[in-house]
Amino acid sequence: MSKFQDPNFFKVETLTKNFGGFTAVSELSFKLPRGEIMGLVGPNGAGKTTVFNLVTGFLKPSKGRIIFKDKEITYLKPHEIAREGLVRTFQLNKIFSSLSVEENIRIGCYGYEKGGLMRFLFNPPKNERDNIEEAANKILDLIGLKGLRKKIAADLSYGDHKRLGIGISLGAKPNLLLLDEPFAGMNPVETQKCMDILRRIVEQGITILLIDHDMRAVMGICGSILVLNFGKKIAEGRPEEIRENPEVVTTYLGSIRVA
Amino acid sequence: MILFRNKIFWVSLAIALSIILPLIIKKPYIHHMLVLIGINIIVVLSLDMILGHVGLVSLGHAGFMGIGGYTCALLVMNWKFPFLLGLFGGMLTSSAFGLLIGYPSLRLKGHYFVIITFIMGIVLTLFFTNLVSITNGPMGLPNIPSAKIKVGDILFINFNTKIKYYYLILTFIFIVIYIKHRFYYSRMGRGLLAIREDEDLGKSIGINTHLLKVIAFVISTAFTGMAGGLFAHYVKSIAPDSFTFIPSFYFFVMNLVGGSGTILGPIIGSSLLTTTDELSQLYFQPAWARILFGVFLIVFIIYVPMGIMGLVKKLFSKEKYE
Repeated sequence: MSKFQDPNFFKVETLTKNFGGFTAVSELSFKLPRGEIMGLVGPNGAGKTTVFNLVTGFLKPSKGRIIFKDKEITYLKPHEIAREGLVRTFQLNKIFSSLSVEENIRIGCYGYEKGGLMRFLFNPPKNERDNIEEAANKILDLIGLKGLRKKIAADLSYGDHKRLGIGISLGAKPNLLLLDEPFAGMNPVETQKCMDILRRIVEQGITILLIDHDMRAVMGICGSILVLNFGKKIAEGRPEEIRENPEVVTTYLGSIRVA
Repeated sequence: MILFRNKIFWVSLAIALSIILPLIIKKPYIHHMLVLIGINIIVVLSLDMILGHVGLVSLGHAGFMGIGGYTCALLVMNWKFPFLLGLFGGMLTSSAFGLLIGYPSLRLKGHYFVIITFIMGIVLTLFFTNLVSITNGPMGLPNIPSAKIKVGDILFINFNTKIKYYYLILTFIFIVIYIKHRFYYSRMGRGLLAIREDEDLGKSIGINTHLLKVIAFVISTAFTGMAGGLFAHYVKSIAPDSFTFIPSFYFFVMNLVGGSGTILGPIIGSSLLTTTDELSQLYFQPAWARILFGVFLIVFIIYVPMGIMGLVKKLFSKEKYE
């Protein structure tokens, strides 16, 4: 992997967020090399989702810097950050529930569309429309929902629901994808399916940072893992190292040995 | 029976009907009603760009209609602008106010936005009443000339009869319907749909949600202003009480009853409620009309929250799946 070619692909420096007197995230620093899958784990309330909200502009940090592709994105607005190529999904999976699967992906492909007065008043040229169709079909193929394209999103099963959420975010042309609990509530088969999809996403050159509690899946898919507790980083390293780390075992993993 | 499922068939039928309707029914009173319905259709279609597409209720649209009406009438009367240019001026002024009010207030959600637009509607009415040097105050502007369109020596139309004015309004309705149609099939339309469904998800995929809402509001207020100009040149005298909170509320009810987020809904709602209003003023006391509006609203909110079009869609989709 091109680990050392791009030191400023994604870098978080001394990121801190205070809610009143409560420090949700404290002095967090880490780097994520391009093309890797990193896991962000920790007990409930450790500040994982807050990190996502800070990085994607949904919350403003109290302190610290976020560098993405050599550019500081700390104080950009959510949509600006998304357009830079840093796209997230949500913990309580958000989709456009009253629309069909196809329409969900079609709206997700906003990053492929061009605006302007002429494109508002008249249909854009056919090749542009075809490109978007093609992109949408590719995403549907990737997340394996091609057969359900006409179904209303609210009627999907839980696993399909989650994968649709990932599909929508893929339409925004991400370079770095932040997935908030992609495996939560999935049965082992669905988890396996979802892991395969994530591997295929990474093959396309997209980097992934994910939060999850399914340690078996996280250990299986992530190249490195970062452990948070009470907003502080308590460990960072390869899955094997994390598994043996005594502090992680006591605060989070418990005595149960995982895969 | 395929014919009845065909959208193009129904659209062409509706267009044909709207063109020949005033020729079949020759009563001037009906023509008058058709023109009023037409003006209301333009306003409600514009209102639906906010209510249906963004999902926010505006209770100040009559105020914007007033801005358009006053600007257009004053430009034509005092500055000798040609009618179409005056109408454009009305649209521009109305949309400028739309931008001024929409930019800060569209950051608000739900009830707060309703309150802001409600207050703005009242403030605008106060302007019309109290800026006597410009608007002539509560006396209103009398003697607005009839609409005339003149293109060089080739074309000159004086829209001085009801039937001619009906066709002028119809042309503008078609323009607004086209713009409304593009609200479904453009990038902005898809962005607005995303906002209505889930604003945070929209932001997360790179949609500048605030900008899109402001643009939609500006377009909406522009066409409402245009309707105001058309109204002024039809009734030939306007006063502040044509643009108070009450008509704003009526437009909202019309939109709700017809069905928001559709093209046919505002048309049905305006036609139905304008007719009811006019007939009740003719045959009962006007107060009855107001009560009827209230009853309509309560019944619809409870039993048919998606409006008549929502009901029609539901019936059709039942046929499809059962």
